[in-house]
Amino acid sequence: MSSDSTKQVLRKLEFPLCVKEALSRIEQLCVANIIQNVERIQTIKQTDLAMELITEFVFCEVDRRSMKKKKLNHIQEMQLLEVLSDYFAYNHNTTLGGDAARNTVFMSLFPHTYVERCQLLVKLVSIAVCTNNIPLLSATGVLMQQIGCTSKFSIELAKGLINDYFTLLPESSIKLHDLPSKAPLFTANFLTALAEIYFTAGTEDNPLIPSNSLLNIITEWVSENNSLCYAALTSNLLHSLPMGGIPMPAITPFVGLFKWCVLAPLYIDEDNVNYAKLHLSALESLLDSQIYCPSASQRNVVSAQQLTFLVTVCHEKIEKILKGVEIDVENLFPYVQLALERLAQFVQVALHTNSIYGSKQEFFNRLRNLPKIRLLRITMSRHKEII
Amino acid sequence: MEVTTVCSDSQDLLSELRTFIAGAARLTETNHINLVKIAVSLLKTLPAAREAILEYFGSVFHHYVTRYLSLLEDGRLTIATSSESDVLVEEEIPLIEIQDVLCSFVKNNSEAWAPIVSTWSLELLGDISSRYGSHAQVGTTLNERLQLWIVCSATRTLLDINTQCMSRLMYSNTDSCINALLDMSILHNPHFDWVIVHVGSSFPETVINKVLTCGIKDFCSSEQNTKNPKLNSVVGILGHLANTHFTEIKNALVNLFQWSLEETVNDKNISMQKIATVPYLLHLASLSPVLLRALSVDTLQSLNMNVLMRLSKLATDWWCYFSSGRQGLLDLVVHLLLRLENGIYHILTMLFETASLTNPELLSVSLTAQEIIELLASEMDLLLRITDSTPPLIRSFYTQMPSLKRLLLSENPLKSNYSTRLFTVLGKYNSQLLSSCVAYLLNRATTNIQIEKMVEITRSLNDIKFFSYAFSLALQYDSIENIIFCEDTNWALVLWKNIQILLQYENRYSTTARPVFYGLIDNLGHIFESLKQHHGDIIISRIIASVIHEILIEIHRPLSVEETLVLTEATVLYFYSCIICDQDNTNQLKDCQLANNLLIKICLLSNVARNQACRLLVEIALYPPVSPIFGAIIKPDIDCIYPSEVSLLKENIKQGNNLMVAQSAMSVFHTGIIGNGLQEIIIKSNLSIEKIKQNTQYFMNALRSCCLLDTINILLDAVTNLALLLVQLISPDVMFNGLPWPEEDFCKVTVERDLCIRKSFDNTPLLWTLLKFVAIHRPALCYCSVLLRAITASLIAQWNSTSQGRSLKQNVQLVETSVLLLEILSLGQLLPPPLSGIRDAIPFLLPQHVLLIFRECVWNYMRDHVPSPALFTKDANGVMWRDSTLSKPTKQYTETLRIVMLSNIDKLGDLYNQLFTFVNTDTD
Repeated sequence: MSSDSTKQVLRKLEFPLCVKEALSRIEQLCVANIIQNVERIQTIKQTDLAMELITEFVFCEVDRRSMKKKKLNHIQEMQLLEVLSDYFAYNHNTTLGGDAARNTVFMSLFPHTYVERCQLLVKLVSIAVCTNNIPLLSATGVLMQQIGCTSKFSIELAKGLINDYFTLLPESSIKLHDLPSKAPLFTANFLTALAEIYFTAGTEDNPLIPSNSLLNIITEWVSENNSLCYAALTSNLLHSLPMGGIPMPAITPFVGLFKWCVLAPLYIDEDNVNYAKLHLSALESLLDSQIYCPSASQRNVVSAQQLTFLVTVCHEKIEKILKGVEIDVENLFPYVQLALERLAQFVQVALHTNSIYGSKQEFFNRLRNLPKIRLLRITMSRHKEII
Repeated sequence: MEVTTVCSDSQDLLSELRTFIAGAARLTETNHINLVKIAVSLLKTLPAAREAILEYFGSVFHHYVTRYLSLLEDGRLTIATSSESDVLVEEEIPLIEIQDVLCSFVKNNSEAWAPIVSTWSLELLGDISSRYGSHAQVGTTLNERLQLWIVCSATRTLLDINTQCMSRLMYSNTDSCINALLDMSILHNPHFDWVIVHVGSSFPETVINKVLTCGIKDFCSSEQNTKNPKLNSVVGILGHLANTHFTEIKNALVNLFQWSLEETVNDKNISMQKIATVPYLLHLASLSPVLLRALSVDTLQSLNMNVLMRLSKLATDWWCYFSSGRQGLLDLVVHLLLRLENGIYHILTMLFETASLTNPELLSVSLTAQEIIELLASEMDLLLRITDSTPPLIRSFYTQMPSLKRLLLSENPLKSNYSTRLFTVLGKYNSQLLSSCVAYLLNRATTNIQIEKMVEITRSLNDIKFFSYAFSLALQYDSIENIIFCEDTNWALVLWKNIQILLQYENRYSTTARPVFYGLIDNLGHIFESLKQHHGDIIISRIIASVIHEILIEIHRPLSVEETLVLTEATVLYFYSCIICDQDNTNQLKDCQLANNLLIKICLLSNVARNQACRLLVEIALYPPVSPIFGAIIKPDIDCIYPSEVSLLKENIKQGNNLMVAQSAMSVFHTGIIGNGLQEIIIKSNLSIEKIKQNTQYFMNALRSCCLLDTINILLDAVTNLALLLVQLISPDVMFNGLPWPEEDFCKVTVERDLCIRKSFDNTPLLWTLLKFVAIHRPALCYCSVLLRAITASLIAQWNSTSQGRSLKQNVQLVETSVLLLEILSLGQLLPPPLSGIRDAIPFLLPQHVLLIFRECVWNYMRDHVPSPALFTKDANGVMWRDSTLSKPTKQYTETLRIVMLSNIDKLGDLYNQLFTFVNTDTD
């Protein structure tokens, strides 16, 4: 079918219906790309058509003359979202491309270059979480990993979800409880994005701090699902990607979560047990790295670069606190002591399980600058040979 | 197909969502009651759907508003009736549900929900207000709109929701709130005003402050553009709020102004805003009278020289905020000033103060102030000329008059120039105002500058009424002032000096119209009163008297009796104060001369005045406390020296029914009280004889002035009156006061009275002078017959006792008195020659001879020839004479004298020759 006739047919349909129809056309185009080994030019042509269909008939961003149209109102948006979630929940067949086709369509719908669609994606994922739309969540997980969990796109998505489930309706966060078991990859990537947001965004002295309900749920996730943090590492995306897609290297949430635990005492006055719990679960999870990633080459759990950054941030903050105060290393402020101990524990476990990847030299250099508390000294002497 | 693991819970959710979407997408066939229920439950469970749900809620509200308006249109509902609730209550459940759910969100999680709900409700309200703004049922005035929408349940609910949000946000996120409000106000102007009024009155302080701040931020960024919609909306909002929250607005304005004066931190935006504050406030004030009023209360009061100096440095930066730069700024300031209702005094003081700065560094500042004053003056002039209405500034000018007048007294010539300028401009249209200014200055101007201003102001008007009013005010003020601050009589002195200056100025420079003069004439009563009032102060009274004198010279109308009486009394009092108070002889002479001149004028004007003047002059002169200055001796009241504890009542009872018969043993001669010794003369004038003579001379001059017919001739009637007056005053007895002299024996009956009269003469030498004066002007002395008789009788009695006495020595005093009496009788031609020569003989005669002469020649002659005016005839010159040829005494009366003289011819040869040789030849 030619591209024009497809459009003619679709134009005869009313708004929500045209979306539905367009989606199936788009899927057909994608599946065709995956299965038939068609010529490259053909592929590009079909991809272009799919993109055109998406702009005109799915998101209704332009009219038939490719002129910009008035934005959908919120109720129309809702109708669109309904169609989309329905489509991902029920409308993918395993025979034709399976996950790969679904993910291809999904990625075509929400390419990371289209920031405007991000808001719609947030809503879509938010609805999916509520309505247990697992396929859609999995597709989102893949998307996040492919464009990077710490990319702006993913972070916007994470922020949107946090806003929905923790800021606006804190009581509905219970719904997220069994998310790791349902959509582990999505949860893991969501976690990585989340961990990136807090204690980084905001001003230097007043960083964004996670709410208690968020902390609780994350602690639950990590402690009850030991494999969760490794989900991105362990899942094999090769067959879920569009034709010719290369799986992106996965990032685990470990450094981000430990960052929370290490920095929290330095920023938060009151003693918050939640961080201790989170720290413990994260440590336990990290101890199991050899179980989930048996081969040492695969064990890219903790990036040395990220770790170096964490140590630097931590060091700067401590220096700021200790500025002008003459204090013995053995007799530091308890909260500084706590932060350093948590950092040392993390480093100790990471070194012990051999989970750090990348060039460690800079990391060790930074580590030496920190006030040398006892645990840190022990850790460094234990791993002298590496250092 | 893969089996999807969907639990029933999420299945329900999904179906709810589908129902909602289906319903919301096709509004026309929707049952709102059910759909709202679903939407509410979705809102609680499906956060991603909130925007769609709120949008749907919006359409629900629209639905209810349309319904409400159509009900109104059909007449099934009126705004006034309360039946609305009955009609709609069933169907309003959705509204209530929506309100409940939103409010509970805002309440429980305000930080997250309040901004969302608040923006939504404001936008919706704006949308509704402007969409139905032109609907027939919606009124045009703000109040109508407010009423209409408050009654409408949908909008009311929205407002409630919004208020709930605002109250949560007010302390955390005010700026965004107010900005949303302002933006909506601009977008939906003027339909949105009622919302602002409502919100504003719920949070007046915050809204007002924030509206002002937002306004200034906007103003700053859009300089020059006074048609700025945001500024107008700020004014609109504040204007609406001003009715109920004037104080808050007032305070907010002061705070803003104070804030702009604070030291700037290194923030370019903020310092820009601070600079723009004053132009901003000015623009606000120019757009709204209410704000102007609010500004004028406290903000203006907070201006002082320091603040002004600081502001002056910013002024150049302000020009860019006005369409025509500096001139625009000045024009605006002047127009605002004209509309000012309060604080005019403060403003004018500041302006004058600034305008008269002499510091060369501040030259431009003072020049600007001068320019403003000049602009203000000409603008006032123009306004008053072309319109009937008085601008508020001028009204407040009138009300603030008492304090504003103070400015006129300024010692700084520039300052007083400015105030004079303003006052004269106003005075052109309100002479009363100017009159009161002149009155004020009259009472207070002491320095040359002040007097100059006074003259300048008076020169600007030539209206008699104006002066008359001014003088009456000034004079009244003088008397009031005197009552309140008795110790300070300076006012009066200043006032009269100034009046004199004005009068002199007028006499010198203006020939035709004489407003000052006629103004004074209108106030003669007051003027006379004040002469009377100030007679104790010679300096003031001198000035007043001379002013009065000048007036009287040219007065063109008769004085009323009342005025005359007051003037007479005042003049007499003035005369006495001249004699008593003046120490300097030349001045005294001048003053007395002035008093005399006044008396002449007064007496010539009216007989009433003449009588009154004479009486007052004489009465005062004869009795204490004045009499000693004419040499009178005062015998203090016995009761004062020896306070008696005897009751008069008891004494009277003692007397019983006994008749007081003259000459009886009961007659008491008051020579003292037994046991107390002789009565002492306690008080004696300590003045020198020369002084007494001089005083007497002055007195006589004054009296003479009162009796003048014209400048030279004496009016005999006046002297006659004087004679009668003397009788009245001196003779205590009304009986036997007739002209005829009785038999000498009859004197025994009147002896007590005679002695009393004699005593008066002895104690009061002035009486002799008066009697002489009367005698000269014949035939007035006839009326004093009783006095002469009494003295003669007492003298005869005294000579009698002397002649029988042990000592033959001449009693000097007796002789003096006798000579005095005889001299008067001769002067008055009561004793014709040769009897008139007796007085020359007396000093050389023995007492018994004197007694004989008194009895035979004087008494008997007088007894037989009644001293009556009929004896006198008028000659060609109009002088009264007694024809000596007709009244020549017969031998019966002269023989005794002749014989006595003959027996003393050695001493009285010449006299005898004079008196009798001619007579003899004549008779023989």
